[in-house]
Amino acid sequence: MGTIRALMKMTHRFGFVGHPQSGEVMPGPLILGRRAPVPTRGAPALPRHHYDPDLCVNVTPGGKLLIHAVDSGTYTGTQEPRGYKKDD
Amino acid sequence: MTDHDASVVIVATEEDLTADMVAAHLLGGPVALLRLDPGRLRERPLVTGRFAGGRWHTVLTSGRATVTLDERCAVYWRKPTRPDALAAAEERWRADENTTALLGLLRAHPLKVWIDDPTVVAASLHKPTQLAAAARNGFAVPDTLFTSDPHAARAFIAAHRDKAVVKALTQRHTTFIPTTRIHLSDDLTGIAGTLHYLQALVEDRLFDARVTVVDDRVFAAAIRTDGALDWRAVPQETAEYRAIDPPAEIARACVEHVRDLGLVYAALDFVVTSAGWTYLETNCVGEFGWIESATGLPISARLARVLSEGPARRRAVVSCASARM
Repeated sequence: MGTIRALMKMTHRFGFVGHPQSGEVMPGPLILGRRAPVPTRGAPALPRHHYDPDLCVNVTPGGKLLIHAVDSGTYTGTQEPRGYKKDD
Repeated sequence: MTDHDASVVIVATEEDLTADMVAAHLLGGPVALLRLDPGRLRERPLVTGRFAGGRWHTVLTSGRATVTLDERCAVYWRKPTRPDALAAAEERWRADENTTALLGLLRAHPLKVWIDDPTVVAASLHKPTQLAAAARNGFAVPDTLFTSDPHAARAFIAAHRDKAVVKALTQRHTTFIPTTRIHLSDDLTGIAGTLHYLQALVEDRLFDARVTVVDDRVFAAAIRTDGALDWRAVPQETAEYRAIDPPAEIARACVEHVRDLGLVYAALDFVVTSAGWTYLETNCVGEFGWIESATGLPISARLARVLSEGPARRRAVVSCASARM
């Protein structure tokens, strides 16, 4: 009983209700409310290219290294496909 | 096929243009170069490891290169395909099997250099470990709190005069969460049930700094935004990036810090104020292609050099904004 009373007191104090396993709802993590809006613009598409297993790099149909055919900074950042840097 | 005295194995996805940047410096050079992605292993390269006579002997062969794992071989472990990124269960199993086998074989051999062993990275990427190491290495480190207790969070924010930030430790299962301010007026109940990472705000920032360490070299860049708390949330074209020479003691501490974590490579983040440099975090497999492209810092060339020639453990620390390579 004492434990239940203590839990009820905590519930009142913190403003959440119970535990997910009990079928009740906890508030979402505060930090998830800080997610940035999903950007609408991503990196531009790469020109035609393929991976050359002998050279160990990507090349264009003309044989040029892909990183010399584009601004590699645009494609080597920490951006996810949607444009934000995440995996830094 | 050419005989080589030295070899480099790059472990990366085929789409990884940052790995391309390093590989490009090695093309046509004196080392045998072989690249593979254990998460999406093709029929070539072939990988064969045999344990006999009490020791392992492992050979990787592709069309052009044959690589024996030994003291002449360097490994650059980037970001191979994660098994859990694959859709089919059988493919996930195969990726996991291949990654586990390759990792085990690499760990069983003496290598010239490994940038970096992912098991070492896994141990080093925890922020509590990093912050303690950073303090040991002489950096100023912001007061930090990990808590799932709203009252502890409130007390921390109050102790810092309502000047605190909240940061995400991971980003894998969510869209991007930047570092943001957290205030006493915020509803802190959402801290219960989730460990939150709070830090004292570093006030009066002049600029952010990204210091990329490769063995004994540091490549530092200033990042200037329009007052953004987290430059990652700012479109790259609206920020200003410039190569800089950090103070000598900061450069030295950066190298010591990376070695302290057992790594050869890492990218460190700082806030710079008129009072000096404050350490924020270490990105153990931090990206560098974008900052090299924006500043001209020759990070990929240095990585290629360390891979082909081996680390220079005992040389003096060199900052590379002015002294290229």
